[in-house]
Amino acid sequence: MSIDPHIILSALDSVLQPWNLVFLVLGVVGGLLVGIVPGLGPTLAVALLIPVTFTMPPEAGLSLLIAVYVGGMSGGFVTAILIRMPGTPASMATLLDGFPMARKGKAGQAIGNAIVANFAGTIISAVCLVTFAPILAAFALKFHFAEYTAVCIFAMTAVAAVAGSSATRGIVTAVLGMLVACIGLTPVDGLPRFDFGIPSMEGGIGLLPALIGMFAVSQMMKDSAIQTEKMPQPVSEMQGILPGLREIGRNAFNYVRSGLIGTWVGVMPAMGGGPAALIAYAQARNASKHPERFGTGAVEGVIASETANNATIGGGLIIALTLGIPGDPTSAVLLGGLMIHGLQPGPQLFLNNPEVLYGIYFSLFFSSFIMMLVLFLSVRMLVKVIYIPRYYLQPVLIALCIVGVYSLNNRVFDVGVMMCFGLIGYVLERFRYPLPPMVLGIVLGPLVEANFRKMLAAEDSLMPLFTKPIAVTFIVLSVLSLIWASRLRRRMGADVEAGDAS
Amino acid sequence: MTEPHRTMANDGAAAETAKPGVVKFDRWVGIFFLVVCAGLFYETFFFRTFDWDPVGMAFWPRVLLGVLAVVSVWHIVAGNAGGQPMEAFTRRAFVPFIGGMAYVLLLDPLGFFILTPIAILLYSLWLRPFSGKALLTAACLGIAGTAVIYLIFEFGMNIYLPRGILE
Repeated sequence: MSIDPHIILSALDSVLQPWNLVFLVLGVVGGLLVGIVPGLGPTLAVALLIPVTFTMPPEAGLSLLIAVYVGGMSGGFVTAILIRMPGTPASMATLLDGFPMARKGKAGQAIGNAIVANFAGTIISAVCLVTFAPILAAFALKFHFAEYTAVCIFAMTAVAAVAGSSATRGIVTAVLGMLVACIGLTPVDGLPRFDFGIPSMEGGIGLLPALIGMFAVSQMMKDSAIQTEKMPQPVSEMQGILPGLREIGRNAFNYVRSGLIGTWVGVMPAMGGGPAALIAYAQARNASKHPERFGTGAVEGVIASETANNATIGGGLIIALTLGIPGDPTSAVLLGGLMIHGLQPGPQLFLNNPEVLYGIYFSLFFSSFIMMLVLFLSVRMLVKVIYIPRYYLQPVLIALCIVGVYSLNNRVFDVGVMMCFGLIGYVLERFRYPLPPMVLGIVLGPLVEANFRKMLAAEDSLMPLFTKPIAVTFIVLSVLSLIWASRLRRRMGADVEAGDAS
Repeated sequence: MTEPHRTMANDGAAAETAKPGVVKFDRWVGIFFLVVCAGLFYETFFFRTFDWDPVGMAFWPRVLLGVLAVVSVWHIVAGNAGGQPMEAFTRRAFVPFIGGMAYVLLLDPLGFFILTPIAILLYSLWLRPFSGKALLTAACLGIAGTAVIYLIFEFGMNIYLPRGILE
């Protein structure tokens, strides 16, 4: 397909119209607010705005939807860093290091780096979208059950990175997470399992109630154990919020690697921001000279997670725009928005409506700039959240969590699930069992099972995992990743012993 | 299991830690998980099966339960694998959980508008020493917090919150 510069300039002109820029700003701000509130996410925000775009020209309407998408994906890290409450599931890996940073008085630095990471992730994936969309989409079509199973196995190796001090305890919580994901209708048969005759259990355990329960509610339980007057007062350094060029340069490889991981995971349907962030986090830890700092407040962990989860935006758009396949729920709603405007996603979109396509590309770039600007302007205000006395903050937050989780399906059952997972998270942490592998298990469990069972049903053998080139590549990568993580663990153990001896 | 002894944590909270190397709590956790595995494995025999599906919906849970059982046995044999002592439970920590569960049970019958301001007020008062000023600010917080949440969800997101007895 030849590129007509007139069409590109026309699309740029359309995106730069004053009203369109206003829509972009409003969309990004609205998306950020929605991303911050637990339970609400970009999918809901995009869905709610589709009727608003009915009367708009397609370019303006789609710009607004893209802006909300970018804002919604970016907002989740704020509460994850400040109060250990992931606004969206995509931010779950961010809290592993972001929250310890905030507790050490580095909330500003964590948020500043997360903002740059969000921007970098969106831009890297947008560049991939503009440059390699058809190639990546064709590559994604080569993924069948065996390839998906191998990718999921590779993603599960992240357990080694987030397991903490004991690998076996990490395995226990990862398996518990996968067992939790077994509750409810099976992904293959559509029949209930482990529902124990309770009708509400047939719907399964939602990821967000479990996530908010395990991290936010358990943290509130932990903090409640401390008398108010004995609660340590956080001291947040406001200097160094904007990471310097030297710091960005030092993490350049982390940005690029995590951005590419996020884009690649985004291209694959049904994976999404959560697994992307965890895979990028694990790879950042494996590549770090100081892996022992991960989980205790390493800025590289925040960068990896946030770059990767925002990079899934471009990845998701690649498969959605080129093939008309929605990679995640937000892309599905966005495709609905396209079709409502009379546009058919897929190869025909490139031929018949290139101006709309370029408009989407430009909207993605401008939205990420606006997102960075808005967040940097508001970061000083956001950081002040940690200074609010907890007898004001906690009651409102728990009410917000409850209503947010209730709003997912209008079910009180989900709120009960959140509270129970709060208790489970609290108990497991008391016993020093790490929670992140459990989240990984809940996210990846259904994907592994569905693809593994479909592969066995189709091929009647495990051999495709070792004979198909893409699958065997990921199996080899999984083995290498585990060997590397094991070496790191031994090295870290030796360092600790050496430190103890000295 | 040896009785844990009390130490003062750095943050000033009274925290109980077990004597390292004495309390092998992983063994007890391992036994607990083995019992859970056995119960859930038994449950898998009641899953529906189909002739056309050679793998069946019990296959994956059984694989997971097998892995969990093996690791649990390892924990029973090896004891405290991580080498870190457990952190003690404090009664105060369970109050938010009990309060949250009470909120869950009362949400449908009482409704959001009655329950939420009361819950916020009580929780806020519980977290600080009682005084007239604390009561006033907690009451204001309850009303303001409920109003903000109502505005976000009902006006902003078109999500209908339960009305309970006000319906």
